[in-house]
Amino acid sequence: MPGGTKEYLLKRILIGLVMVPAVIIFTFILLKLAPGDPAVLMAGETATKEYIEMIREIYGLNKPLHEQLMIYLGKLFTGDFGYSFTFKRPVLNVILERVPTTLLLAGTGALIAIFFGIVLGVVAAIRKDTVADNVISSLSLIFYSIPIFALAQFLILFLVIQYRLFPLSGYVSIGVSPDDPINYVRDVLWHLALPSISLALIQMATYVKLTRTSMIEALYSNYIIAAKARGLKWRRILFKHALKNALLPIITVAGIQLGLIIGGVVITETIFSWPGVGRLTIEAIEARDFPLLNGIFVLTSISVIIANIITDIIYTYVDPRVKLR
Amino acid sequence: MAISITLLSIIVFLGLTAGVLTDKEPLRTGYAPGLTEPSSQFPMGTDQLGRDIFSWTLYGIRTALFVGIVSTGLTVIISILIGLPAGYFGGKLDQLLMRVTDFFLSIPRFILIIFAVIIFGPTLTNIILILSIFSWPTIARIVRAEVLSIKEREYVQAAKVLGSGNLDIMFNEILPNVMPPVLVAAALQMSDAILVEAGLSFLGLGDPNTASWGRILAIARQAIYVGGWWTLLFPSLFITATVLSVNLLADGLNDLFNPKSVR
Repeated sequence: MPGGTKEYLLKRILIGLVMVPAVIIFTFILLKLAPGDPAVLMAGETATKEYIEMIREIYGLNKPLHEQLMIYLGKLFTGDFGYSFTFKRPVLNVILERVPTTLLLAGTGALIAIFFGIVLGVVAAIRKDTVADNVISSLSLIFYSIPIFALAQFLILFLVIQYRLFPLSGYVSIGVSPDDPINYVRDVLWHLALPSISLALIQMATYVKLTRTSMIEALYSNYIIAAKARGLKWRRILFKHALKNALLPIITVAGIQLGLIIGGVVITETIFSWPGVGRLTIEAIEARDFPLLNGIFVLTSISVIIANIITDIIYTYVDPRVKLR
Repeated sequence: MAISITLLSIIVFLGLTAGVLTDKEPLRTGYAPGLTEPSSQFPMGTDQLGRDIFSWTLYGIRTALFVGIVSTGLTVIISILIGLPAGYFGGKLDQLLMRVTDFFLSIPRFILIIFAVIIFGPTLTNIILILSIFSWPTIARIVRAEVLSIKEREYVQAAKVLGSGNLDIMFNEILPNVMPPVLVAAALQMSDAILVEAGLSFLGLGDPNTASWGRILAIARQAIYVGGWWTLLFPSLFITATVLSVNLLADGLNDLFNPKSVR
């Protein structure tokens, strides 16, 4: 690694670590700003008087504001996100259980989007200003503008209701158990298809546009012209020289997309009843389960912060020229 | 640019003349006994409760554009009020702005908005305010970055030498030149605001008293299983056309301001 990179990464990680208490303090402020009694909010509107008093006691809501904040920070930092009154279990356990299914959905969606986004972007760049380019560019802009809750329903209307090609909802069919690995994996993938394609379609436009722009830039740059002049094979120039450079911005954008796609995940999981964190968010909303919602917000924020740090680390490795302040 | 302006004008026109184009009220139940297919009486059919989709969709234009325009306007104003002095004066103020934007850029915005809507209640005013308060960092950063480059230019230095005050320089010399990229970002912000409002309504977190496309699409979730494709098709067409034309407008503005950029 070139000099300065280590310092840069260290600083980046430090800023990330500062963000975590900032997120927690921020939720505390929101809670305090909320109209009504925070103890009732944390206990649930249907809670008994005794339970509300207990919550008030646990969170020290009768104490001065700074003490309340310290208690709150202490609890969240030790992983105590409170108690979900709908699930009757600690919030952290309820959320962690759902994380793998969400990662599967979001990860598959992102991979499909990145792969096809790059392929279509390269095709559009090579065939710049032809019919193919125009079709790819217009279609990706249209998909970029369709809200996911409309797109996913069209997929359901045609592929589930009309042609019955895919299962309606859920994660796995009833009766298929993990004891039969081959069938289990096949069944999960079959359920995964529509939600992950929906998620991929709305993200793809960003990658298509980005790849196309940077490929065109690369193809007209001096080093590519020089490579052509040296008589290198076109295919080699395209993939080894041009694409490699064009891919750099994709890494940055993939990191940013992660934060943006969470809204899409919430809606997709709701539509397809995919049992992940997004669906859990809606369950928490419907029950006004505030501790659960709070936990989801803090934990998703932390994952986005971590993902951004990882993106930065990968980026500095891939492109050693980067030495941001 | 021409396509987007034409499309947008048609949509705005339909929204403004909604009261003339239909005599039915949006959200009013019982116009028909149940899910009714499109006919001359109900051009876009009705939902399960006999609500007229045509009138709901047309009035939905007003909601979408109202939320989009007002929240984007507020976002731009906040962004300028914060980004302009931060870029111009630098120092502590600038540091603070950068940290605050870092913060907002590293948390999932949609979940934050859901969280805030639940706490403060799903009224249209709240949704607009929440959208603006949680959306300004991106544009504030753009403003700041532009100010940093513009404040070193000769005409700004000249104004300084001639004895113009800081406020005068910021708002009369720098601000007009900061606007082009801000307008592009504002158009994108507007399409995003329309999508977020519809998304909230889809999840049942919209204002129950306004006609929102998101809510019809939530109704469509059940209706499409019993043949009610019209509850899905028409609102989807309108929201996609609106968002698409605003996105095309952003693209057009970008080309207008940066004629040299790769296309």
